[in-house]
Amino acid sequence: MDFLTNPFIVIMLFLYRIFANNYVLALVVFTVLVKLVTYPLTAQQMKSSLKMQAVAPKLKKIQEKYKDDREKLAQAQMALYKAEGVNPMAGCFPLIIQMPVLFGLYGAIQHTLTTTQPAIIDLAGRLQVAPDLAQLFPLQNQFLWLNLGTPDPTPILPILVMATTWLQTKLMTPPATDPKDPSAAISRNMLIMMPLMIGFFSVSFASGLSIYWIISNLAGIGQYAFMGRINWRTLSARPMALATPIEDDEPVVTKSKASEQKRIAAPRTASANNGANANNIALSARTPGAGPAPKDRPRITARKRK
Amino acid sequence: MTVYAKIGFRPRHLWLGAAFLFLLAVLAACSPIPGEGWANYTVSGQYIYVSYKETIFRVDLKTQPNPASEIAPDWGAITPNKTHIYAAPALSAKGDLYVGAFDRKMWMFSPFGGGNRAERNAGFDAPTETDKFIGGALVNDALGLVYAPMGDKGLKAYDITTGKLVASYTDMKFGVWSTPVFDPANNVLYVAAKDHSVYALDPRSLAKLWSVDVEASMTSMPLLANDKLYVGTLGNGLAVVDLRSRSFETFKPAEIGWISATPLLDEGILYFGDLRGQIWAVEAATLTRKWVAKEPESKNLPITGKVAIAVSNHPEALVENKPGRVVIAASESKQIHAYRIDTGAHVWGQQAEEKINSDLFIFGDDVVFTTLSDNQLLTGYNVNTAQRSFTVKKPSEDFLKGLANGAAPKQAEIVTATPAMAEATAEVTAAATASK
Repeated sequence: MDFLTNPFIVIMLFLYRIFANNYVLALVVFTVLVKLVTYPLTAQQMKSSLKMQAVAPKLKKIQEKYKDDREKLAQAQMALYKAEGVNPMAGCFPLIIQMPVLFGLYGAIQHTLTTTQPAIIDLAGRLQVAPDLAQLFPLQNQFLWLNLGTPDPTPILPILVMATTWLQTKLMTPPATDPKDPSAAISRNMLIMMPLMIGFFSVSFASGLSIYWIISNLAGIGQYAFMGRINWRTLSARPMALATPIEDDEPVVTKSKASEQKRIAAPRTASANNGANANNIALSARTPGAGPAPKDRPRITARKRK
Repeated sequence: MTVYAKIGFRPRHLWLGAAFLFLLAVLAACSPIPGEGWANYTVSGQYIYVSYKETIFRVDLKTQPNPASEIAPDWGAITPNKTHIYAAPALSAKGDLYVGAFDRKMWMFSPFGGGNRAERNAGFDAPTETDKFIGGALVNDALGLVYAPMGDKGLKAYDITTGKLVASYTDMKFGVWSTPVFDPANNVLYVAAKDHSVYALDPRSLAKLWSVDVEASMTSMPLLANDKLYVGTLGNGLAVVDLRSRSFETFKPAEIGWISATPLLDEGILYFGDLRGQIWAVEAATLTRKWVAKEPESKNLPITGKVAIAVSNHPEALVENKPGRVVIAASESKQIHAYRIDTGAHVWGQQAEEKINSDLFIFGDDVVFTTLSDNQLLTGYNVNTAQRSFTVKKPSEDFLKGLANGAAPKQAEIVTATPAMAEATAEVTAAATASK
């Protein structure tokens, strides 16, 4: 990953110099820049998720119809995807492309916060294209109570890592309308396991890396909010039945009259989303949308497709 | 209904699971470095004390190698909790060893003292510091102090018998990764720090006397000679600090890399390697380049250790059919090469088993150094034939415990750094002897 790590190291050091040798500020700006640069990919991922969610009820019907015939099931699924113009893999590709960027940034942070002689020697080789940056070393690695090059001696950062990871995942994953759906169970488990796992790892990470993770989570939330995809109600939402029945061949994409945001009602038989989470690399792309509307919202209407 | 359908498995779950496992693998791979370094050593006459990972041991270089060209240590110890050591051990006049470790404590070992020689000296109990030790310690026998460079900030001095903190200087922005240098002529302790400054401290109180900012970080031990300090920097070439005027100048050609090694001064010429794999010969008085050399088929891999100078009768080294002097340097390319001292022309090269990061030194006809290979941890190559003379493997814990249960090793002949230090040491030793 040196082809990404090395230029990222140079960029980080330039930002560090610009922002008066403030490593955390440079880190914030760099993370935001990375989010901006990868925004087209994130938007594409979101778009793909919306499409997938739209066809989910039809997909479900097909799966029930051909549950005993895998060949016909596959054919029907492909036909549906073709008819609706959906590529089920499209949500994954942006994530796959973003992953090297994340690793490169991760490596840049790790290499600039050198704590051993071998690390210094390794860094020397990476800065040959910009040797004048060498005089910035060593970097100011103190931030509040933290030494950015060593793990946090307190549990504060790991807790923040877990909390922001959970928050981002929760906001981007709508509550399942059918709690009995097995994929809903998986999503619920992911919502718990992913933050715990990442928080556990962050105990042994350099503080700078943990701070990057927190910033990235918050930036991801901000990005989704900017795209109008955040529904804060999902923080307390529970699974609900659909407000209206869905007939065959009727799509479930709806538009709310109440706000300028596009809201997508969870289809009655929709399985829980694998909420897109650019920071948690793992997840594929089905968009979170608004949960089932509360009683005092405008009624959900269906629009027949031609 | 298929099994997968019964359990609610979907193809996207496969992606989810695979991606999650991948994330775990990546996160596990990206975990912090567990304190690996390279083997460092201290030489005392015919004895060499090597510290590597959790092991510290001694080798008598006058031991005849067995048929397999291996030499076994005659003493060794394991650090408490097997914490890793990064720095070279410091040796006192009594033969005690002091070394800082990654567990943020300095430990003392007494190969000739009573008790379990395979373990640390329990009578020495230095405090736990805030960061690991990277720079090597320095013993001042006359004052009864051992100077300990702090990994995060400053320098401290412990009592060499009890480990009690006696003095400290921590008014630095960053740590000290180099070994301090004591100037007995002026009674000053010099420290090259990561915060771009060379500090002159009082050796007893560690009070700051003065400092000079050389505009780049330093991680190597300075060379004290001719009332000057010669020290490699990370980004500003070789810095030369004049101790009388307290000013500095640099040797910094455009192509020079970061310097992580202590220079060697020989007949007015400074010799050192840089992290771009170049070996430099520079006139000390004028700071002008004499020559620069590179390994044949160089991959520009770093030279991190001090070079050595030897007399060689290799055909390429001869001067008027007589043995000529060569400069020997080793790098992370796993290779060691000799160059004519007058021109820098290549004389011979040899391949070792692993990367070579340590300083080189000459013992008899051999150039001795350490590698990162446990099977060739300490090794010597003949300066005339370039052939390997001996190898010392990393000793096992069981082997070292066996040594501890046997006869005590021979008392080392202590070779101190300067004549003044030797006089001071002799006084201390004589006083101690008289008091018994």
